[in-house]
Amino acid sequence: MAEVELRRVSKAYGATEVVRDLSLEIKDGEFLTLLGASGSGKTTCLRMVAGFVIPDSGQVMLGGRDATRLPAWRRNTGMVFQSYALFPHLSVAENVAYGLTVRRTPKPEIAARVAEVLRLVRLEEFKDRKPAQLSGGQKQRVALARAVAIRPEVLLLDEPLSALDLKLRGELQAEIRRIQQTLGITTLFVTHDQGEALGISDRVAVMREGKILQVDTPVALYQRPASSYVANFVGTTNFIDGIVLDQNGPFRIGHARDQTQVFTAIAGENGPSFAKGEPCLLCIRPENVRLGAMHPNRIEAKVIHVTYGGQHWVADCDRADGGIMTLNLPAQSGIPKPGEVVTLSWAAEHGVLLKIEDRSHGA
Amino acid sequence: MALKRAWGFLLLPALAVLAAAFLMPLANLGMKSLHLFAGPGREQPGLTLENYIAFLEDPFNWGLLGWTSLLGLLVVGISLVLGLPVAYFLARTKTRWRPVLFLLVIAPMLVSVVIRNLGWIPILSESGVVNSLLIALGLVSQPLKLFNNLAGVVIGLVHAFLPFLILTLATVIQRIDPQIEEASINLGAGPFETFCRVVLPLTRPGLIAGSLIVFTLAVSAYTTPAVMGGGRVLVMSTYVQQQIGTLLDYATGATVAIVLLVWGAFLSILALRFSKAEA
Amino acid sequence: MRLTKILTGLAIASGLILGGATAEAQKSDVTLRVASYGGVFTEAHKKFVADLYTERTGVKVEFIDASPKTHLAKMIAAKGREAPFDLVYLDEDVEVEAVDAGVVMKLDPKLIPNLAFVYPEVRNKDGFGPGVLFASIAIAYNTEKFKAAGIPEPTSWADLWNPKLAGHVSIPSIDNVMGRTFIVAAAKLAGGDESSLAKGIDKIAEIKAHSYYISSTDLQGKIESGDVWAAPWINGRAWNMAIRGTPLRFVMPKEGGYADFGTLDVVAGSKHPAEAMGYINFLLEPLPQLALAYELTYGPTIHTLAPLLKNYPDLARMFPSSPEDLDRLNKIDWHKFSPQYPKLLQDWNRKIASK
Repeated sequence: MAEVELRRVSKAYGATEVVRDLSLEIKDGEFLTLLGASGSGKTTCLRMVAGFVIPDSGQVMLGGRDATRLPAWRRNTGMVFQSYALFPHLSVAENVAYGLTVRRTPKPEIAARVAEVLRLVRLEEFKDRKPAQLSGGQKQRVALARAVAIRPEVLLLDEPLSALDLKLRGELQAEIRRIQQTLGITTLFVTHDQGEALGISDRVAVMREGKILQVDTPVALYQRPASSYVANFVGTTNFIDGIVLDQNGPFRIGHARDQTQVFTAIAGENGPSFAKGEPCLLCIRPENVRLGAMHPNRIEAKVIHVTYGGQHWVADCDRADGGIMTLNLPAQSGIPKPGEVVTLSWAAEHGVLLKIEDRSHGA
Repeated sequence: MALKRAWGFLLLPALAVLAAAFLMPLANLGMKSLHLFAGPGREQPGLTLENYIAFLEDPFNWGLLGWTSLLGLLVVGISLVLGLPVAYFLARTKTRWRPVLFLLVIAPMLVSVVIRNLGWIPILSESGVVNSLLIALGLVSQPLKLFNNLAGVVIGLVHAFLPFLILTLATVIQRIDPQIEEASINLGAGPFETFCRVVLPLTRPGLIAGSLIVFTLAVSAYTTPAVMGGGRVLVMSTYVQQQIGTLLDYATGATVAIVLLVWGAFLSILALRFSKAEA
Repeated sequence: MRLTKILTGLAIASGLILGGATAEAQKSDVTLRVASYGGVFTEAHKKFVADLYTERTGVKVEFIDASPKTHLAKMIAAKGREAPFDLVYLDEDVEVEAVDAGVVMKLDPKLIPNLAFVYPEVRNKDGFGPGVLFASIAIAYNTEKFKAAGIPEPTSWADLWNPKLAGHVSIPSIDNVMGRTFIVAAAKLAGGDESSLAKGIDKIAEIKAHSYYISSTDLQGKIESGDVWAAPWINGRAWNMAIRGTPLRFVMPKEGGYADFGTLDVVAGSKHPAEAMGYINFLLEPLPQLALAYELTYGPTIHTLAPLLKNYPDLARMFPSSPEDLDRLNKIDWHKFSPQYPKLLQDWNRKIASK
């Protein structure tokens, strides 16, 4: 087990820069997820750690040692692939034993270790099967067992769940987390699914265009996103265009259209500084918006429609400024009718203030 | 089932052509081998197995069969050593020159066998390119005999049939998920070990099919042994040509051809059995 | 090249004159199918024999190219049915086999008056096709290689066994007429003759040969590569190579070279025997004989040209061109050779081809 670090790594394929001057630290035993849309460079980062991609510049540190130029087969990382990549000509047990066999581990030790990890993934009785005789979920568990059997310094998971159906995905996600916790293994997980990322990780790094936008715990990432891209990529968000009226103490924000309408808010994680009169973006999560005027920040809106979401109702409302306000209502509460004009409100600490970077709010 | 039957009918013309083009000459050949030679181009009337008995009783003929098989094995072995890396490269490369590379590989197939063999003269002769190079580099003091002997035949046959092996192997390797190789490397196996432990076993069907094709072509080739062997590499095929072409002894020629055919079929079945048992 | 032009001119002129004179005959709708060797051989025959014959008689001629043995095989296969061709060019020894197999017919001397001018030795004793081309088999050697290695010009067949030539002599394979001839030469060298040919095989096996060539084209490549310095060869191909700049000399050993005749026969069962014999008769006229001698460097088989050729020594030295030349060459009795052939082949396979 060891810590992993990418130090100012860059990688370009021809004119396309895939990773740009990126730094990232994964602590010993930590489960860190690289979250991003396809093409964001997350898989390239993972492959740098595995040794399949050599960065054009920067360093890859494994357990405190510079591994930048170390060939992939000398790195002692355990990787789980999206396509499982099991050896079709070998049995489950032989697949799991593979890394140990090439390490010339003594036979009895291999047998013991294979039995141990197969127990860990609950596949003892499948050890003599060939991969073709397994279901998708079983295959991925074999792949996981194979990767951890060599006791790697770091476990690398490359979208391991994306080929599975929804229910299996949830089960296997829990399984991966359980095994990771049991072994206390440093883990780098790559996914484009924000739900997966939030549910499984100690920390999540959101990537876009070869850079990390924000690294944080799932809670901080969700509650205090550092940018509109992150806010939008992770969960659903309401945005209001505003202008900074007062940046001393709690922020006071005027509505961009009507500065007499004033909101109070806090800055996002590692909050940027704002100048007085600077345009900004106010971001409020749907579950923090209340029906009625119980909070100081209020806005009028007309209900468009209300849909049932199981644990709560989801109401979409038209705002006077042309934007849309989405809010969650408790399942037991009464619900407004479409066309009804309502007052919506939220607490100051639920209004996160963000810089205006661009108008495309991502995903 | 109905659909299957319909397909069966559609196959009929092809089967008829196959029967006419393949089975009938074969039957004719078989018949010829059952008559005794009676002077150039003539056979005695009665059916007999004496040609086969005579063939099998003569140790010289066994030597011929062994020699021919050895030639086939040599050609297959060398083709595998040369062809596997090339096939692997062709299957995995992402260069946009790939179609050109494929064309280069099949180029020998586009040249007539006589021209192809003539092309080797300036390369393999005693004062040819290879020997000049070896002598200039001080690797040998006397020119090597690379031509007009077994070496020449092997070189000529490998050159002629390597494309079949490369194409067969490249097709099979292409179907192997590259992530499987990455998985092996990730688990600590170097590229060579990965090749041996993962790529080779998964290429097995291609290896067996390709080797069989090359072996069969090599043991039945006539022109290359005749031209590149310098008249001192007598194999089953050149023996058949000699018996039929200069003696007009169809009986002996047909007997030798059938023996070679049966031997080839036997080896093929053996190889296929072996591959199934291991798969 | 001057002679070519004169010959071509003569050919056209004679064709026109004769053609004009026998305009009626031109209406013939007969097509003769002639089995030939192919390559330059067929080309020359087309130009100086077939086309002229067509102009003179109206009989069309088409060539079918393959080796004499292949032609023989076809004739035997078609025996008793329609003949695959009307005329066939053969080697002298293959003609013996063809006669034995009964696939060629006796000629009618009345239809071939020119037979009278053919050297008596070259006329078939039993009345089958005569020799129409006269070649000799002797030793071709590379003068530069010999000089460099300090080897004197070969004067005897035995010189091919010179240890200094080890690895640089190519021997004609038993599959071709040159090889069969050389077996006789070797047998004689070993004190035998056509009736004790096994001696010849044993003798040949003693040569440290570079290779056993399958055809003249094969040998040509081996000489060009510089690996082969000497070989028993046929005059025409050797001289052709020398003319085109290879330092090659074709020499008669003191035991004598060997005569080799290309024969022309009418196929048994031909539907047009008269026209076919007419073709043979035309081929034996001086003009085609001279033109072929010039084009192919194989000598005429009619003695009438000998006095003329004496005036062209540069041309005449390339092929047997006189009765004296014919006398000096050894002649092989192929009737003795043929029955031993299958056994010889076995011997060759065991002692030479698989070593």
